[in-house]
Amino acid sequence: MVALTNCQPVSNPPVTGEIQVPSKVKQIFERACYNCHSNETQLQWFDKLPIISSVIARDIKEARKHVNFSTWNSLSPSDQKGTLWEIYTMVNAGKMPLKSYTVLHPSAKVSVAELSILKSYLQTLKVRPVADSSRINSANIQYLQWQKKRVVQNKVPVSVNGIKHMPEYRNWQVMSTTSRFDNGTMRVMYVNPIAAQAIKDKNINPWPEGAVIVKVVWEKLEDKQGNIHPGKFINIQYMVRDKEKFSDTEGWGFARFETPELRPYGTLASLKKCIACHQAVKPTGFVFDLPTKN
Amino acid sequence: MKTYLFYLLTGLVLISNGCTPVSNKSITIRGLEFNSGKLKVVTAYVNEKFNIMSTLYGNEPAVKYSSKEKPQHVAGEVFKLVTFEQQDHEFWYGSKINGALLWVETIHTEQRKEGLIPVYTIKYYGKSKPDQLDKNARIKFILEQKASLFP
Repeated sequence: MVALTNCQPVSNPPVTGEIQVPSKVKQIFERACYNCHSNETQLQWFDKLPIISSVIARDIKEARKHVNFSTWNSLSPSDQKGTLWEIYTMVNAGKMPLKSYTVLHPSAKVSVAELSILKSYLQTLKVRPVADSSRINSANIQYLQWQKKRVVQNKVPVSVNGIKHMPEYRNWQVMSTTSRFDNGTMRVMYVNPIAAQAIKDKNINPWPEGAVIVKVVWEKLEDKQGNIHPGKFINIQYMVRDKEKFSDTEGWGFARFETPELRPYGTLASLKKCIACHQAVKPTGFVFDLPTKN
Repeated sequence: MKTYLFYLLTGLVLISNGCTPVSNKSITIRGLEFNSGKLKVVTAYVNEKFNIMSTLYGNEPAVKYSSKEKPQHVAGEVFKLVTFEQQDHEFWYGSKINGALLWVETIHTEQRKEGLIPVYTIKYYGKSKPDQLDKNARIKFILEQKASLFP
């Protein structure tokens, strides 16, 4: 019995910059998330039992790496906001708190009423598109500079994981367009012929080998008539289906190229993190931006 | 005894929980409702007031005009402004996404005796139709759209 209760301890490092949100919202985070996603973990007696304690220690380590409410201030303001919308998406999709956790800790479950509190709070963080003359000018300048440089551009950028920019995407079908009010961007999503056929055949879980999804992202600018147009180009993102090469990220490789110069983004490790958020859309083969029928 | 009982109960709960689907909500994915053929996207826009999302496509001469590579129109330009209903994004709360295809406006530029003429047509796909559109205003609006940066 002594051996059975000899647990692997979970330490609580100092709280260096805790999240600041309205108390109603914080209470939900504290009850449902803090035990794994903060440095204020409070273990129950059964969490310290062998097997369970090692699973819990591993989960907490992973959880803190992804989101840690105790070191929230180490995130940039835009990452803080982005993470809050991601949290809502994961909770709303039933991905968080983990089912295996709520089985033993039912009090961590988030109710419909609490989801609605989170939703109302996020509404206060919406980004309204603006079109002041400086933003319009900088978008115009960016476009003109890109047009000039495009003539001499002959090198195809490659991401650290081997995914290449595919300029031929412009000949592909558009899958969807989105308008984000969480971060003030708009996007056009393309699918290559393999992915387009998969959508047509309703064969997206899993998506076939060779499917590629491309997302072009711009800042939003609103004109006087209320039309919201693409402003400055931000980045182009890729999801490439290769079950073997990307076996540890559900068969999807992720890449992003930033600014009109298409600078490859991220490290092998950071690109692998993309799948964590995409786990929320397992029913669509880990793809978010598919239009649905109501 | 308490510990062994706990392991037994936990094991049973986990096994039974593993058989429960995460969500019972059924999802129907839309097909690709507009086939652009050989046309390329020129730009896209959103109008919150009318709850619509539009994508402007063009053939090579049309893209060149909208990107100001060619300052004058030429015969044979094809523009297609494809308008969808805007709807909530099922999978990402912080976003809107296109819904059903509503209508497609097409402009062909044609060389006639009287000069270069933009020929405008509209085709409806959805249940809802917009108020009577001012044809000349629509031609002006579509031809004024500036190409966006697609790297």
